Amino acid sequence: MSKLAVSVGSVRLKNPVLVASGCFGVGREYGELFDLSLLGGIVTKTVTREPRAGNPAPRLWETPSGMLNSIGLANPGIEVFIEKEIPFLNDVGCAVVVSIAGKVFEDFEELVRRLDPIECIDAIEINVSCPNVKEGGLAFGTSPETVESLVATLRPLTAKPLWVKLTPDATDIALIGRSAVNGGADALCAINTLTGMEIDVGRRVPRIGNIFAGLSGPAIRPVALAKVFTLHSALPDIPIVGIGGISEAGDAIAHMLAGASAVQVGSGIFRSPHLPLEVIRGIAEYCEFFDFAGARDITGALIIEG
Amino acid sequence: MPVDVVGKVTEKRLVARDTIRIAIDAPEVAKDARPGQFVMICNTVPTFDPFLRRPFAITGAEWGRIELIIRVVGWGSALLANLSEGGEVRILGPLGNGFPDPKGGVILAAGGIGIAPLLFASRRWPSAELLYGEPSLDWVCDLSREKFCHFELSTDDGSAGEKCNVVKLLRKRLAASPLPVFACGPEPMLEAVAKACKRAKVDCFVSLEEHMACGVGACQGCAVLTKDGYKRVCKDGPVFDARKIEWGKR
Ligand SMILES: Cc1cc2nc3c(=O)[nH]c(=O)nc-3n(C[C@H](O)[C@H](O)[C@H](O)COP(=O)(O)OP(=O)(O)OC[C@H]3O[C@@H](n4cnc5c(N)ncnc54)[C@H](O)[C@@H]3O)c2cc1C
Ligand SMILES: Cc1cc2nc3c(=O)[nH]c(=O)nc-3n(C[C@H](O)[C@H](O)[C@H](O)COP(=O)(O)O)c2cc1C
Ligand code: FES
Repeated sequence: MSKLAVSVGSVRLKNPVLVASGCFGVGREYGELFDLSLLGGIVTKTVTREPRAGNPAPRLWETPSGMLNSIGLANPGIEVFIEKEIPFLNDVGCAVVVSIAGKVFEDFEELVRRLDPIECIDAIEINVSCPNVKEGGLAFGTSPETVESLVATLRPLTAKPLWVKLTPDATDIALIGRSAVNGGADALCAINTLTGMEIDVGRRVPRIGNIFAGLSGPAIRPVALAKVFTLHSALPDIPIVGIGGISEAGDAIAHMLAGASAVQVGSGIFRSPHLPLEVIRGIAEYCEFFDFAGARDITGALIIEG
Repeated sequence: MPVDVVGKVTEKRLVARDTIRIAIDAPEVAKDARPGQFVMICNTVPTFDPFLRRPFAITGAEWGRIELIIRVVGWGSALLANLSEGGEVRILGPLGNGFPDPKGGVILAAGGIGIAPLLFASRRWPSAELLYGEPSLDWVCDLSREKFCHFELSTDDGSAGEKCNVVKLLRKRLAASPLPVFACGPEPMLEAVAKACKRAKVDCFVSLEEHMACGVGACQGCAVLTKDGYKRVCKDGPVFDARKIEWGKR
């Protein structure tokens, strides 16, 4: 096994670096810039049962060391996704995680049923943390009871690992994480974007068409690290995938030290398309320099003195 | 296919008020670039302010160099305009679709910094006629190095060229003889250009602007509403058939 290889539960990754949902499509565009098979894995843009056009423009606004987005889960729907994107994903040569979201439980159930027989899918990421949709997003992800019963409903429908992506907007993320695990989640992904908003004071209007948006980028890294650390402390046996504000290798390593078994790189890719590869290289160098036998040994290796 | 490279700034000059023109050594980007395409650039310093790259239209792609005209409107453009010769930038491109090949003559209508992609078009298609409007003389880019088969200038205050806006120049030009139009500029101008072209029954292609994050089509952040639903300005555009745009709707 290579030094960089890690596992997230039963999912084996050739290295700990995945790309985050919504920041990479399915990889078609960035696949023109580098070899996708070098990645640990791709988490696809969240797919829903029906096609979604997405939210009104403007959908983006830059903030200090970060950005707001309100894409609104624009996607072609599961039917087209399976027909058009699965053949592409079948050949990417890295792990494939399909992110799903729905308005009601039945949507999630149908999505899992459709994805279950598809061989190239290594795991399903349940997105109950999107701040940019009215139903099913934060409304689900901030309620421990809903998260537990949703995961419990989906659990019997597939043998594929179920990852649950959590919101930092929940009052107690460990409570939500534990509920997901009680429902049968194999891993927890943290964090999705933080709910935010910006205002054009001259015109007295919100900067984003949908008013609220999700904050991502370097600005949220400290929040993300705190959430990963909190989850890992509360649930030391549950694999965690760290997401939030990774813009260089050191940020990914910080996530792993805090307890993440793997990481996802999101909006940092917009600035540096090759960032995932730089992070992979940086993790290898870190292992070498600090005498870690393998990347998996970085997980939770944070030293807390006193 | 786009590439992401570091390029050296080989030339820089002030061409109008708050507006610089730079040349960047980037042969891999210049190779296949076509008029209407753009690049996403940022400085090479590992800082996150600004965090995102900025999109700029390609003004020229000859001799392995990418030329850009940058007008300072905020922090990101100010940083780029402050680059000196010999400095380096990260440059991702060429991106977007670009203008279609005109089958014969074509009129280029530029409003303000919309001149940037249209100068490239006028070099690539020498029979193109250029109409260019700015608020006043100080904003008019120095075009003394360019050659045009036909050039008309307008300013809102009459300090240079005709005292009117560029849409009026276009209406007059179209009344003389109809030709297809390629336009770039602020949205209200483009909407007026689209109307004028519709009335004159000529094809009209507009290059749109939207805030961008990825610039390659992966994030869906740069959506524009068209008659066929939301399209990505960076990947499906930035050049669109004007008839397809749902003007003023989000
Ligand atoms: C395809 C494309 C091609 C472009 N080509 C050129 C060019 O050749 N020359 C040039 O000078 N500019 C061009 N622009 C506009 C340029 O990208 C913006 O002016 C720049 O991103 C502003 O960054 P800033 O940090 O200086 O401004 P900010 O501080 O981010 O904003 C200052 C002001 O500029 C506006 N703004 C910011 N980004 C954009 C944007 N992408 N489009 C429109 N308005 C924006 C903001 O709303 C604000 O009012 C182009 C934009 C696009 C989408
Ligand atoms: C433009 C954009 C679109 C996103 N779309 C999704 C999505 O569809 N599903 C999802 O679970 N997360 C989505 N996210 C959240 C990211 O996957 C990630 O959790 C978040 O951006 C934090 O990571 P970062 O700071 O590295 O960007 C999106 C983020 C951005 C910036
Ligand atoms: S800027 Fe990301 S899709 Fe256009």
